[in-house]
Formats: sequence, C-alpha cells, structure tokens
Amino acid sequence: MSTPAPARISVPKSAPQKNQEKPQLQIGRLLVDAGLINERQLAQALVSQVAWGSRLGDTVMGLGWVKPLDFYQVLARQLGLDFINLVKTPGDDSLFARSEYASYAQDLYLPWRRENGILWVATADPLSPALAARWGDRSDVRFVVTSKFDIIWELQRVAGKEFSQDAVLSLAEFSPEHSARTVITRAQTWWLAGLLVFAGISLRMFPLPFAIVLNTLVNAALFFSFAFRTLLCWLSCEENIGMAITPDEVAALHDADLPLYTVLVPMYKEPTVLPILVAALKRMDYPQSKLDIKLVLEEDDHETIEAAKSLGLSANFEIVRVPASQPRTKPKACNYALRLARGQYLTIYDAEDKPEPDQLKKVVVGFRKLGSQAACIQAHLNYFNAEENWLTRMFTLEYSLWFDMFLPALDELRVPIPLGGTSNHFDLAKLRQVGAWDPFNVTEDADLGLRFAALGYHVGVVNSVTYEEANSHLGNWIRQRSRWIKGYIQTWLVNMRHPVTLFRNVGWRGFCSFQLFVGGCILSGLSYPFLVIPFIVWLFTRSNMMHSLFPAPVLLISMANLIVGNSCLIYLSMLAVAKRRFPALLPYALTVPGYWLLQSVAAYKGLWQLITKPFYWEKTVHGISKYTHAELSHSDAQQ
Amino acid sequence: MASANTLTPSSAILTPSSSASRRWQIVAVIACLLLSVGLVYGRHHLGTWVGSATALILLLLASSFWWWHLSSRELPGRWSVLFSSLLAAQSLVWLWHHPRADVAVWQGALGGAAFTYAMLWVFELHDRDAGLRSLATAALLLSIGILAKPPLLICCALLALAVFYDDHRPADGIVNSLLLLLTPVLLCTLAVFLLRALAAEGLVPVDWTIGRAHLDAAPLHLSLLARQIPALAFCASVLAARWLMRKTGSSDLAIVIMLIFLPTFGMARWMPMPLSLLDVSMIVSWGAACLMALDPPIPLLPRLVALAGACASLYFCC
Repeated sequence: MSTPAPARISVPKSAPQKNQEKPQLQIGRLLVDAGLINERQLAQALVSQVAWGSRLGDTVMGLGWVKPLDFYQVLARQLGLDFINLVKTPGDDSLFARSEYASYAQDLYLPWRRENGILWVATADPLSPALAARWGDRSDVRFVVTSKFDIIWELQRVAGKEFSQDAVLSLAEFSPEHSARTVITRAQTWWLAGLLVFAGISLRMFPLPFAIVLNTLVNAALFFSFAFRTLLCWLSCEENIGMAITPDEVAALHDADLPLYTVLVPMYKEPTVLPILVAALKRMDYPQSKLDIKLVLEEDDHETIEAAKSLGLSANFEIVRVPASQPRTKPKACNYALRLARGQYLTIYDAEDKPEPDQLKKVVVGFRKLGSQAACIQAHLNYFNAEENWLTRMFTLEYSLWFDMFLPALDELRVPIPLGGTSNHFDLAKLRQVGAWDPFNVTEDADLGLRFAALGYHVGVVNSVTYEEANSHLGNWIRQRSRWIKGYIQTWLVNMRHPVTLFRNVGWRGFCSFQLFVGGCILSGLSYPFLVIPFIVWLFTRSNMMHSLFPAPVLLISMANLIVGNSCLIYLSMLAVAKRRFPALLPYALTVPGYWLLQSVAAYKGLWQLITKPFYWEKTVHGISKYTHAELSHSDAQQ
Repeated sequence: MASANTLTPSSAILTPSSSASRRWQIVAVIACLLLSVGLVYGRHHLGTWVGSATALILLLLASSFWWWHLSSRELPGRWSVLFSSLLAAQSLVWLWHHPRADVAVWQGALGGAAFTYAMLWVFELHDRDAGLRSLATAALLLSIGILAKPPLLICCALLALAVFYDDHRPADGIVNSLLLLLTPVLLCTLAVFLLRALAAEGLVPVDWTIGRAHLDAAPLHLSLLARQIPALAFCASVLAARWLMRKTGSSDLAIVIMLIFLPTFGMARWMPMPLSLLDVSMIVSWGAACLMALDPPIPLLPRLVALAGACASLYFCC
C-alpha cells in the first residue's frame, strides 16, 4: 500500500475564532499564489466572508470561484498535511462504525486506514471543533485532507446499502403504526368486510331505503366538507391571515447569524430542467456558503447525472446517487439523502421549482417566531405557466385555493396541515425524530404534516411563493393526480388505524378537520360522478326511469348537493384568484365543474392503483411546458 | 370540635356565582311569564298557537342576538336590555297588528329584517377594512338573499355594487368585479330555476321549490310613508345619534337609500312579490338596530337621542 507520509498536526481543542485574520489571509494568499483567484476576488471574498460569517474556503467555493479539488489541495498545503483522493485511494471499510455514520456526514471526516497502530483520518475540515472534540487528545491519530465530495462519495460507497435499507425500512420497523407499508390493517379489513356484507344484505332486502340512506349519508358528508372549505376560505379572505413575514423582518436578519440550510432536489430523468433549477437556487438571497444543496438522483439515471456534472456546479451543490431498490419513490430518495444532510433546516424543491429569492430567510424568521414546537413551515405554491392552456389555468385556480386559502386558514385554526409536495421547510432534528418520510406513502408530504400534528408539533405556513410548472398535458395530469388521491387514501387509512388515539392526539377540531379536509377530498373525488350523472341523464333523456331509480327525496338531495357544492367550488376558486391577483383567471372558475370530472377519473384510477400497485410512484414529467422550453432556449442563447 | 367551627353551611354564603344564577332565574321566570302572556295574546289575535309561538320564538332570538351584539360593543348592560326590550316590544306590536297574516308572512318579514341587518353589518365591515372578506361575505349573503323578496334583494345588490365596485374595479376589471360580487346570487338563482324545472317535470315535489307569492301587497301611495312613522322615528334617532358621534358611513347612506327605494318601488303592485308595510317597517327598524349595534351611542346625549327614538316608535306603534 503506497501510503503518503502525512504529518501529525495538533488539532485545536476549541472552535477557531470567527474572523481570525491570520489563517484567512494565509489561505487567501495561497489561493492567489496558486492562481486560483485574483487579488480583486480575494478582497471581495474577504468582505463576503465577514458578512456571511463563513470561512474563506467555503466562501470562495460557494461563489464558484475555486473548484473543491483545488481548494482542498491548497488547504492541505497550508496546514502541512497530505491531500488524498478517496476515489482513487479508497479507505478500509472495516474501520467504519455504523453508529458514527451521522457524524461522518455532519462533520465531514472518515476513518481512512490503520497502519502500525496509527489511525489515519481523512477530513475535509481539519479545523473543525467536532474533530477536535472527537480525536484531539489521541496520540495514535493522524489526519489527511480530502475533498468533502470524496467524503460523501466514500460514505456512500461503504454505507450506501445500509442507507438505502434504512431509507426504506426505518419508519416501517420502528414506528409501523405510522407506515403505509401495510395498506389496510386486519382490523380495518374486518370493518370493511362487515360494511360490505351489511350493504349487500341491505341492498338485497331493502333496496330503496338503503339507496336513500346511503345517498343521504354521502351527501351529508359532502355538504359538511364543502361547508368547512367555505369557512376556511372565508377566514383566508383576511389579508394578513397566517404567518406574514415582512420585508423589514427579513432585512433585519444578519447573514452571519444564518444557519446552514440543506436543500434537497430529488429528480429522476429530468436533465432538461436542471439549468433552470440551478439558476433559481443561485438567485436565492442566502449566503451561498451556507447552502448545502443536494441533487438527489437515482444511480441508474445516467442522463441527469451527466447533465448535472456538465453544468460545472459550485461546491455547495452535491450529487447524491440513490442506489436502485424498491419502492422507487421520492420519499425513499429523500430519506436516503437525509442521511447526508448537514443543515439546521432542510427544504425540498422539485426540479422545475422557482422559489422566491427571500424564501429561506423568511423561513428562518418564521422558525424563530414560532418557537420550539415548530417542526415545519410550508411555503405557498403556484404556477408560472398559468396562462398556457385550460388545464394549467384550472390547476392554478386549484393551487391558489389550496395554498392561499385552505392552508393558511388551517394554520390559523391550529389543526393538522397536509403538506404540499415541495417547499416544505423542516427543522432537521425534528424531521429525523419523527422518522422522516414514509417511502410507502405516495403523498409522503401530506402524511408527514399529519404525523407532526399527531406528535404535538406545529406546522406553519409562510407568505412566500414557489412557482412550479403546472401540468399542461392531460395524461400527465391524470397520472399525477391519481398518485395524489392514492396517497390521500393511504394517509387516511394510516391515520384511521386508531381513530381514538388520533382524536386524543389532535383534539376534536383536528380530528374533524382531518375528516372533512382529507376525507372530504377523497369522498368528493369518488362520489362526484354519482352526483352529476343522474342529472345529465335526466337533462338529456327526461327519462321516466329516473323516477324508479332515483325517488324524489334521493334525487333532490343529490341535486342540491351538486348545485351547492359546485357553486361553492366555483366561487371559492374565484376568491382564491382574486386574492392571488390573477384577475384574468376569474371567468375560468365557472368551468371548475368540468375539472372536477377529471378529478374523479383520477380518483378512480388512484383507487384502482391502491388495490393493484399501492406503492407505485406515477412519475410526473416536468419540463414539458412551452414556457420552460422558451426559458431554456433563452438561457442557451445567452450562453 | 375545632373543625366544626370552621365549617360554614354553603347556603349561608351568597357567592357571586350563586347571586348571578339567582338573577338569571328571576330573568327566566319573568321571560316565561311574558312569553306566556304573549302566547295567550297571540292566540287570541291570530287564532293559532303554532303561529304565535313561532313569532315569539323568532322575536326572542332576534332580540337576544341584538342584546348580545350591543353588549359586546361595550354598551352598558342595562342599556342593552332596555334597547332590546323596546325593539322587541315594538316588533311584537307590529306583528299583532296584522291578525290575518299567516306564519309565512311573519317569517318573511323577520327574514328580510335579518338580511338587511347582515348586509348593513357587511357595509360597515367594508368601511373598516376594504378587503376581500367583506366582499365575499356580501356576495354569500346576497346568495342567501334569494330567500328574501326580490325588491329587497335588488336594493341590497345595487347597494353592494355601489359600495364594493370602486374598490375592486381597478385591479380586477369591470366584468371580474361583477363576477366576484354577483356569482353566488346568480348561481343560486340558477339553482332555483333548476329546482322549478324539476318540479315541473314532477321529479321534485312543488313544496320544495322556493318562491311562493302570497302577500298583502299595498298600493303605491305616499301615505304609506306616513304609516311608517314608528319605524322612521327609531331609525331617524339612530342616524342622528351616529351623526352626533361622527360615525356616519356607507351603512347610514344605505339605509337612507333603502328608505326611499323600498316604499316607492318595493311596494308597487307590478313588482314581483312586492313588499308589505310590515316588511318595510321591520326592515327599517332592524336596519337601524344594526347601525346602533355597530357603534353603540356611548356618550349620554346620543344615547338619550336613540332612546327617545325607540320610545317614540313604541308609542306610535301602540
């Protein structure tokens, strides 16, 4: 084994002082001498370093001026240590301790090799106080410098399978009552079977009274669900509902006090939209040196991996390769990347997301305002391609209603909030504490929001928007929506395994809100055709058959709900776009009933998939909007 | 026994809670007596127990709500009780001055009054905070307003347009502003027509549909205005009290417009389902009640002005 001859260093026992002039100037001078930056860049980096409260190395790498490989070589030279490339000279796997995987990822070190009784530790941060605390008083330990990417690479090489296994099974094994791995429990199966038998017998013996009772129950549930949504909207018509972070509060933040922020971007076969995402993240008003951005890609997605590599990303971007295993879902990929996350807070963005630049700062203010019980803050979502076609307009209406009206009102009422797909910002420690995402649930975000509430944590909503790409193709839309509804059914089933416990945990308000909001979504999707079809049949045929099939009271109840429900949806959508200031979309709200029919198609597809392929992740294709293509062409032309 | 000396029979001490509970008991007994008298009196005039009981319950609920609304706005408790009693008495006398009217007429009149109360409340809400909430509330109220008579609904819809239109026009455009305000009422109207169509097809019993016209429509005549003096006295005194307090706003203007519009057009025979004198009187007096509850006359002079108006109304009614 050709081991380099590294020098022993005395590792500082305490954290290095902030703005310690001498070593900073030294590393800066070395970088200039090496021709990696010029004098002007050094001066600028020193200013940024003080403002951001970061080290010079992180600053110049965050700004994208120095490649990590070059920087760590200079750092090794400065400290009189040897630099090693872990990809070329991997370490001894047997030295890895499973219990310390989290520390390796957090503090960026690894046990590399043991030779002649000396343990060689590879580190990307030789001056780290954590390293000093761990190894400082050991005389049999020596250090070598390596790049942080080598640490992540090596850690994944050695522990990748365990990370992957944990990502899939940790929640199901340690907290099975919260996992959707079991779609329907034995007790729930008995209940369902009992209800079906009862329904069958009743239908056989008393068909008409049974139809009336069933119709009345379904319609009553729908009525209360619509009424609840109307109440939520009415509450949200107040301009300053929810947590409103002002620009002054954001301006009052000092960059130096901001924590490290992990950003996860799970992607699969989306190489085209990558440049847009990178540009959006670079526009964030947050010190680049304090961003720990992880592009979470599947190991076999060579196309996107190559596209990411070709972009020449700055050092705060990392590529995390998720080993292929089942279920192949976004939450599993996120769980995997969570093992490598280092920030105090963590957020998730989709590949095509464009968050407002001050979103991360607003969230930091939000967490400070909400106090220790806050586990998550959800940002609003909306679409940048609203005007593309009817479907995108409808989708925008729906998202405006959901994120601008429903969620802030749920927050105001302090009831469980089903989180949206992206732009949910977590306190990382609390996220780990609750077991993170359920990889078997295809709306893992909604499930997580409810789990936080059940465990007594607070989920807030912040007044910052992330713009996404609305589905502009019907097939793609149905695929996405069927997954959402399948996930909602999974979430409802998981939470209703122990209804009494749920009631105790979230209180009567939380329980009712869960039933009306999550349960109401499922019920309205599934029952909508049964409300509409009788009416349409009668309208076009004026058939007398209606009299026998739908006696007057049944027909009247359905009809009233159809009219009241649709009217509510139309008007609430109008209010939502009025609040969002999209006046051009107001008239389109009148076509919401048509959109709801599509919703029902997706609901039945979701229900069917829940039975046949419960954990299958229907992939939504991004980057198909003409707006996205135009933006990509524009950026290509600029380059 | 030392311990026995420290014991006090619970009945010997009148704690605040027991004194409050005794006061409520007295109020309850008096209320029951008044209700019984009212019920017997109503039975005598109307010839039906159900009708008089319904009217009494509705009035009791309305008066209790007004009392609560006044009290919640920091008007001293005794004054709230006094005002609500006077208005309840006045409404009761009005109702029993219409012995031939059936229960539906009473309900219609009280429903119209409640609708007016809510609309004026929303106009006041808009004066305080011209946000989306007041507009949404107005639009949803207008949709419920299809249960009221068309003249009142038309009047309130026009007033709502006047109040909200300017705020939302610059941002949303003319059509969109109209859509925001009128969509619920238009959808509800459509629903009514749909239900009528179903009724015509025999799918829905006729009784379920809305819009049965059977009212004692009075001819259009200026003398009608004179017959409203009881309601006008109270309304004028409330407007004067609010003017004295410098609290006049959209709601005051709205009630003045209603005073002009409703007797002239609302009671015309050619109007579908015209208003009756009872309707107009109830609308005006409960509209004034709303104005008073929004900003109760806290200084003595406005309070005395309002009290004088309420007393005068009751006197004219009797």
